Amino acid sequence: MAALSGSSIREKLTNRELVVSPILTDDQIGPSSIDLRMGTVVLVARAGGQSHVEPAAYLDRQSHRGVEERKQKHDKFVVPFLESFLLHPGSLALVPTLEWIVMPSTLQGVVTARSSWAREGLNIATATLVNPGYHGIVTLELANFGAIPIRLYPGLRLAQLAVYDLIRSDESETTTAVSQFNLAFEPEAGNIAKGDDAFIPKR
Amino acid sequence: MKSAREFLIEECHNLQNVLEETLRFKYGLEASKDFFEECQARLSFISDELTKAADTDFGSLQSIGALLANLSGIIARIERSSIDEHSWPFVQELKRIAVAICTEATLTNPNTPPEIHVLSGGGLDSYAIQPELNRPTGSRKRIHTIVFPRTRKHFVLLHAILGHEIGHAMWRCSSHQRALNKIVDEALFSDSVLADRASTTKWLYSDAAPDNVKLALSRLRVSGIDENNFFQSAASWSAWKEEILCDFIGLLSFGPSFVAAECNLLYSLDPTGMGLGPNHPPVGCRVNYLLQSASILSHDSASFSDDLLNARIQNFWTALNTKHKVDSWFELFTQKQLKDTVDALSSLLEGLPPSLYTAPSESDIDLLVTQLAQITPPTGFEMSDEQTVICREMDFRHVLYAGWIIAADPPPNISFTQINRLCEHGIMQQFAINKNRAK
Repeated sequence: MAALSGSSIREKLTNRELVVSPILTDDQIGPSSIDLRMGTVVLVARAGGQSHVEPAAYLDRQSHRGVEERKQKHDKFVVPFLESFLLHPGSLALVPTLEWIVMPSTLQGVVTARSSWAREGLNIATATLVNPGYHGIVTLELANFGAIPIRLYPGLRLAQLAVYDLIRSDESETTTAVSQFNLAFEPEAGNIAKGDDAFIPKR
Repeated sequence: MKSAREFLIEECHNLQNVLEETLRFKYGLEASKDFFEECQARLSFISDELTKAADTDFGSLQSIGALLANLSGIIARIERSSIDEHSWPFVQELKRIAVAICTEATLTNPNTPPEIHVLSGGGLDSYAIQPELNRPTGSRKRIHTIVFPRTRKHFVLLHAILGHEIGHAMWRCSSHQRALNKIVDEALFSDSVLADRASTTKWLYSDAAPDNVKLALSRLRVSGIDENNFFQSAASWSAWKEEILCDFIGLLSFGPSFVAAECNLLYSLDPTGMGLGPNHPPVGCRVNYLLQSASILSHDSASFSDDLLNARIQNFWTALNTKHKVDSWFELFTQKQLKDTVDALSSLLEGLPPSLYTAPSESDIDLLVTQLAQITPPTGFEMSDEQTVICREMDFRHVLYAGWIIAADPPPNISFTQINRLCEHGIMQQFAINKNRAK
């Protein structure tokens, strides 16, 4: 597995083998990465919504309680361009990238914070892989590790995407085993209980 | 017991509180500020008038009360229109057209744009623009309300139907009403089967009418409705005329995507295309004249250098033309009448940019269709052969057209819903492109 250089990224974007769209300026493509901008939706945990994260809640997808718990877990804010969102210290927000990604079966992406933002305390959390075969926005899990709030505007370059060649692509597997978030247009809570129900007591 | 005046003054205070409560929600770009200020100005005017009125001046109290009730209705609706209830990227584009068409002179400004207020409603047939027919005073702007079906929030391809609804706003309360009337009367209706009520009735009750229409008319006869009173008791001839005009405004302001949206929506509401509504001529007739007019405008005959693109466009129009009724009873107008009408209306809309739809260039439509075929939101972004970034403007109506072209032959495992969301996302992304280009 090798990281693509800026010129390799440009080549793959030009022949549409890799899609990152839209890229607004040439300098968004760096020596070995593409800057990603903040999109126009923010999900944050709703105050008073849930006392704790409960995997068992994810097993109940149909009842009033189950649906209500999922729907009331987050507050959703639509934040158009030139408006802003204040990320408070210690809070977590899910935001989409402005860019739409189409990752071919031969490549994998890794999303990280831009160092200038990281120095302000903005962390882009853990789940940063963009799998081969993925189509959609990338959800950035933003956390403010600093001591003061950070004002965020849609369109700001918050993250960067590095792209890696896979040693051997598994095209047939990537097309059938697409993630639960494939074709995502905005952030949503995942299903943390998926496939693990044997280990979670029923409520 | 309170006097009528005291009661109305109390209601003014209540409405002030409700108006302030509306600011708990976001309604779209800059919308809440303009809306709030317009309503605040109206409420202040009403309060002042109430303060000046005497308790026994019942005539004034009644008219002020009516203004207050109207304002209360408008303000109460806004809480159903928070920004997440509708497709705000589409609304931003739609507003540009609505403002261009409905800007008018007031006492304070010769070019006063209307306030556009958006909300969501229930049911597929909830698409509407509810124009404010009368301004409360000569110096105030109108507030027009656009309604989207809540269930179809992201279905921007269907939202093209609002081109028709913009026609209603233009017809009922714009400075263009006289010009529109002239075009319909002289270019379209004159010498057609719809020339007047009598000739329309004769056509409707003719032997050539399809059996479904005859059956519907015979049912009406049981209720005492026949050729002598059809347009007094069952339908409004002037409403039919308005609907037909609005179809043409929709076609000319949104292009092919309007035809596709109208064909799909109308046939979903009236599958036979022969229903006789009080306000609308039969769907089959409407779709026929729209398809013919689209052809007159050469929308269906684009021939580009790229064979695959031509095939895709042809496929779209072939699918759409399956909705054309071959029975000549459905043909209301001649080719000449249609051409004269689209020419005259095009000239009118051309003077109100960006109201008039113009066909896309090959490079634009090819880019948008290619992006959609690759399951990517369609925008004006691409990489040049020199591997540099190119961002250009893209008309959102071309995004919609590309969406319909792809919807006629979608990539595997991509639904109509997803195509709509891709197009909506593309319109939002184009907003960012335009902002960045304008800096």
